[in-house]
Amino acid sequence: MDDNTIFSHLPQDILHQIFTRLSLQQVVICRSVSKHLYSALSSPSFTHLLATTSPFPLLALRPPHRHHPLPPSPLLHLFDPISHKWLRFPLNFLPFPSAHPIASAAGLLYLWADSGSPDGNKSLVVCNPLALRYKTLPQLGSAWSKHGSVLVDSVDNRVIVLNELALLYYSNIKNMWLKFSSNLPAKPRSPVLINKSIIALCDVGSPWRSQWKLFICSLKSLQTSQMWNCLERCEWGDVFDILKRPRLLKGVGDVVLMIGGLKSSFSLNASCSTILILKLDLGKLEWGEAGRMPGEMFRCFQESSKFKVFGGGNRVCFSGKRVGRLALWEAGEDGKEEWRWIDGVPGNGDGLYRGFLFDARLDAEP
Amino acid sequence: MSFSKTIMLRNYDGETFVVDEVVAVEPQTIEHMIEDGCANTSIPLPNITSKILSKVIEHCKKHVETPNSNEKDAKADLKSFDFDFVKADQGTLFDLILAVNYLNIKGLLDLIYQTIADMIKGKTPEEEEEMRRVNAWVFSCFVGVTCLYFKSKKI
Repeated sequence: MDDNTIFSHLPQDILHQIFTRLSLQQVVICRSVSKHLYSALSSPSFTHLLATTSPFPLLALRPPHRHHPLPPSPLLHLFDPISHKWLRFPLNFLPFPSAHPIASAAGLLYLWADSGSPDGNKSLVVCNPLALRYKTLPQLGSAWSKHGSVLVDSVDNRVIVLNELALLYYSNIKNMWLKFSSNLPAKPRSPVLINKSIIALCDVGSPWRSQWKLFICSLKSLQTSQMWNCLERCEWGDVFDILKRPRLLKGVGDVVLMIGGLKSSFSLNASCSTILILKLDLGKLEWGEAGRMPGEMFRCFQESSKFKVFGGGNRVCFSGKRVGRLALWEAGEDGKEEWRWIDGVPGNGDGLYRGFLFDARLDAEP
Repeated sequence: MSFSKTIMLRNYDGETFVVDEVVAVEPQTIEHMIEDGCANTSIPLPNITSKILSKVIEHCKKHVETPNSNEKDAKADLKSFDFDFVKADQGTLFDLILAVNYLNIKGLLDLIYQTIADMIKGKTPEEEEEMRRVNAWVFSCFVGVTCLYFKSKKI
């Protein structure tokens, strides 16, 4: 692997033009070939250009249970839906004894890590596993890592942690968490951050009968006492009653997806006929159907009482207890949907895998 | 027979090439030189050899002469011409890319960039095996390989 190749004599801008025609994976391999290529393909102008020419959208898995002991060599398992292959990114460049991946936005990976303090506090760590760079955010009490939902965004690398009572907003400028009191009527379920608002489901019903409603909080109104407002329209009818245990995911653009088992009747413990994906256009505030799991596929999920959903945009993944594999829903640009199975899921979980979207990029800077 | 204007190009080897203006302005660099009035006697291209310059002219000529229609035959003909054009050894490709970059011929530049990118992607069986080994390393011990390599090179 010497430096005497065609590449060592080409000027940088020509190298950039050639390598932006390769995939991110190929660029990472080529970077290891020589010192010259490594520096040419690591420059910010190149990595930024590559992020636009060669996107690398992946589905990352969260480790099965936060309290299980982690394997000695921590890895992030990801699925590439385009080449249909499983990948592994090592996380041992992080100097923490245990780090649990939890979320991602714009090429940055967020993990909960032991901050090493005796009081059991945790820290959120933000890193780029391809560039091997990381940053530790200020400590938070362990209750936040156990019960809080982490929401992240590409705009200003926003990080929010929220629970029923309060919302923490990370201020980049002051390097501290700002705390705001929440006025939610119940625990927020699957909150999502879309544009400049947080949307969550809340069960405002009784212990024996759920009644789901959507709540929205604009980031501009964090300092007011009534930051959450119920989002509803009478035209929506009983859209929340047809789904069992609905949850939310970010859609494409100004859209939120709501996913759950489609109830076969309105009776209390009705069984489900399939899994339905609904979409809400936040501009027009209109619901539509985005997808519906095919019968043969749903049969594998029917036995498991629970299933997990993760992903977003135009790719949603489903996992169920003892199903053994993942079901993947993909929506094409022309509106056509495709359902397929993902086999070979790594790890020895009970089948209930959780995860998140991860857009691998070399230029993401924590 | 049309009496089109011709341009003289004088290159590194001292040779002069006489080219129709319409072909000569394919390279943006030359087009700008002509516009700026620097092309009174001949246009100097001191950093390009005869071998490369004649190849470039051949490409420009072919693309200028082929009618810009959406006809299947014309397109297929051009495609096969381009395909044969880049079947050159590494050294020639290297010289070509520098020359075409200097001359700024967009279509030909795209063709060469894509050719080299495809060369990197598609490898001989021995290189493919090596790449596969490296591939497995890179994504499972990315840190290890890079650190070891750089340590050994004393960076």
